Amino acid sequence: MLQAILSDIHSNLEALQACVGHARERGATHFACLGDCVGYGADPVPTLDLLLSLPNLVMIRGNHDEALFRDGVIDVPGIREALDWTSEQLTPAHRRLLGDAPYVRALGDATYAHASAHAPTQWEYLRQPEQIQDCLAATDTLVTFIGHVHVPMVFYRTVAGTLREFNPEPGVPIPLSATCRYVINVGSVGQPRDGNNATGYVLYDSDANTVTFFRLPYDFLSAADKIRAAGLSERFAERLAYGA
Amino acid sequence: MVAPKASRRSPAPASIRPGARIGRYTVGARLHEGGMADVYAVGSPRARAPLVLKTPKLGRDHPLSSLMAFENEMQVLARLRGPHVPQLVASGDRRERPYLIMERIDGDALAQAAQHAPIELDALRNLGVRLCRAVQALHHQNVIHLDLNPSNVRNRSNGEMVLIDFGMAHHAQLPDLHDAAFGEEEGTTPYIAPEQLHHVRSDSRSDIYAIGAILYQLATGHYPFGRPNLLSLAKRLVQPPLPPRCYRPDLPAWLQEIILRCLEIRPERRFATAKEIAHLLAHPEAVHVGARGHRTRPPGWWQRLRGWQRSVFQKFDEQSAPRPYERLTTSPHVLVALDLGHCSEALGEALRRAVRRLARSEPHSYFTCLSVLPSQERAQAGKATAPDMARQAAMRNWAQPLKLASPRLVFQVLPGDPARAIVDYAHQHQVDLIVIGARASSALRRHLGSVSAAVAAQAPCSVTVVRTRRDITK
Repeated sequence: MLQAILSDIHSNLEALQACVGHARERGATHFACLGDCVGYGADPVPTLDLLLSLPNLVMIRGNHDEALFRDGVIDVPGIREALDWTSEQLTPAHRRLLGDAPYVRALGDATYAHASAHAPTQWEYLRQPEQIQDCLAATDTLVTFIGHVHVPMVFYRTVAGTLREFNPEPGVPIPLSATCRYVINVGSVGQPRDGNNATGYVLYDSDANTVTFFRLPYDFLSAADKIRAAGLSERFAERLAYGA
Repeated sequence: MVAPKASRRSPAPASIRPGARIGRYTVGARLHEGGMADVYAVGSPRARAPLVLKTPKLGRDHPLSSLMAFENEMQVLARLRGPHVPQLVASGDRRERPYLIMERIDGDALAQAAQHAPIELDALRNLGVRLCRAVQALHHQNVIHLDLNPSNVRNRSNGEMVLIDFGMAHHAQLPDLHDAAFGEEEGTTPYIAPEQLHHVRSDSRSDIYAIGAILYQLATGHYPFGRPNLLSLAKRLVQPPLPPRCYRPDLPAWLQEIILRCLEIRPERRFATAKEIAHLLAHPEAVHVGARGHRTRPPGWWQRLRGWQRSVFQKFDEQSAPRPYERLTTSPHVLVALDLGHCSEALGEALRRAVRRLARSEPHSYFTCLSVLPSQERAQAGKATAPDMARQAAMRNWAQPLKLASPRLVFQVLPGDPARAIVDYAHQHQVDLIVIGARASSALRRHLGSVSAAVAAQAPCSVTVVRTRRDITK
């Protein structure tokens, strides 16, 4: 199975189209979306329509998705207004897609979650070793794919129990060893925050047991213009240029 | 970066033993039984070259680290290309019965030489140059071997060295599977670099240390720190080895200088690349021999005390270590092609300016000035003739204002067609940059053809064509 894993799209249609097109060219037959499909961006409807059209989609719920249905999840000014603006436009099909998505799902050798497989509704940012260990303890699969932090990263625990970080290089397939366990942050499609504004996703080959990170240039100027035209926060448009 | 080649996976039998069949391969006799893995000969009706099968030792009596080392080797080998590594043909599912089938390389010239050491100087230089080329090719692909020793270096029938056993290797673009928490050995005792004892696995100069230890052994018949034991491990953290000239007083000082520089405790005091060692083994006159090369006595008590004191505070930091490939570009080998007979004063000066700029901006760069003599001018191949010496003298005269000390600059005169000879030299000596002047006169260029254009078209590296402004506007 060749699966494209997308996360934190945040209604950025241009970025999503770039990733999906790239993954399809490489033969991806399966897709996973690790949540936060909406918020920040100006294209929630076309974004969700494109997601609905993807074959074999594993859908996970993120905190921005949950905030559409529940109060108190996100109260940050600017983001709250963007979510309310989004909510007005959604069709029942869109609401079902987001509302039915689980927090965590395990399939084969992989577990999919938005923030962490451990206490997923806490919406933690996984950066500290203890958090990674908790996430690993909550699953029994070889690899757990997460998003939420918007920075691509590989964490792995060796058979001797040492936890390590590895900064992945785009385009270089990383073999997953059966002697280790992995937590892989796939980065963000719609709002990268590692100083590189290129959109990013991961291809997971479950037969060859490899993951490959990709970073792609995309039309962020159009995405930013749409955010301004929709009257959403200028800051959301600006940060697309800097990857911050 | 190249995607890993998909190796064909064949269903594995429950156990691998002589006579067993794995797909279209038949397991033959056991060739080697190691602590971590067994190696068998393998037959296949369709295989063009002889093959071997390597399988890790598994089970309760064997450490889990053998599976990890095996998996590490599989990952690294699948990503390596070229004549200096065995070609991977197939691999078995690691969850059922893991195995690797790869090219069989039987030549063991280096292991033989190490057994019969000390060996002749010419043989040592020859083996050293070939070993360095193989290590350079590995570093070029971002891999550090970390367990170089004579039994892990084989050779093909054409003499090319092949590095085997990548169980300890580190690939800078992959997550490292090795874990010091296993308590496993970091390599093979006589050849382990000091920083490896501190669990640093990301410094390509650890392989330079191992090259030094191998050269030491070939030159003297002894290991640098005596019999492999805990004391010999501890010693390398505090002091340099006994100078090879203690064992072999007739050993040239330049060779001792090379060997002891490889075996420096601090990685930054060693050669940055294997290519530099190969270059100096081929051009001993370019070795700058210091006190290190002339030493004939063991370090005195004061030096040993200082070494011990330093070692207490010594750190081998691997934060943001440059990747092996990145390190290769910090000490470029520059070939300066000089045709001083047809070179105007202005062009000569422009070439010097180009070389001076490079020498300043790349403090670890080194230069070979090359002049090509058309064959008819050369009476006897291999012997220095009058035109040879005249060319050498002209090049020295040209280079004199550069004030480059001898270790950074050597001169070479070769026979043959100029463009061909320059390109061939660049191939053989892994040159990083060629600096060449464009002929001034268009009539001459028409008559003789443009050497610089031919070199630029065929060179295996970057080429800087130097031209004076006056020549352009003429």
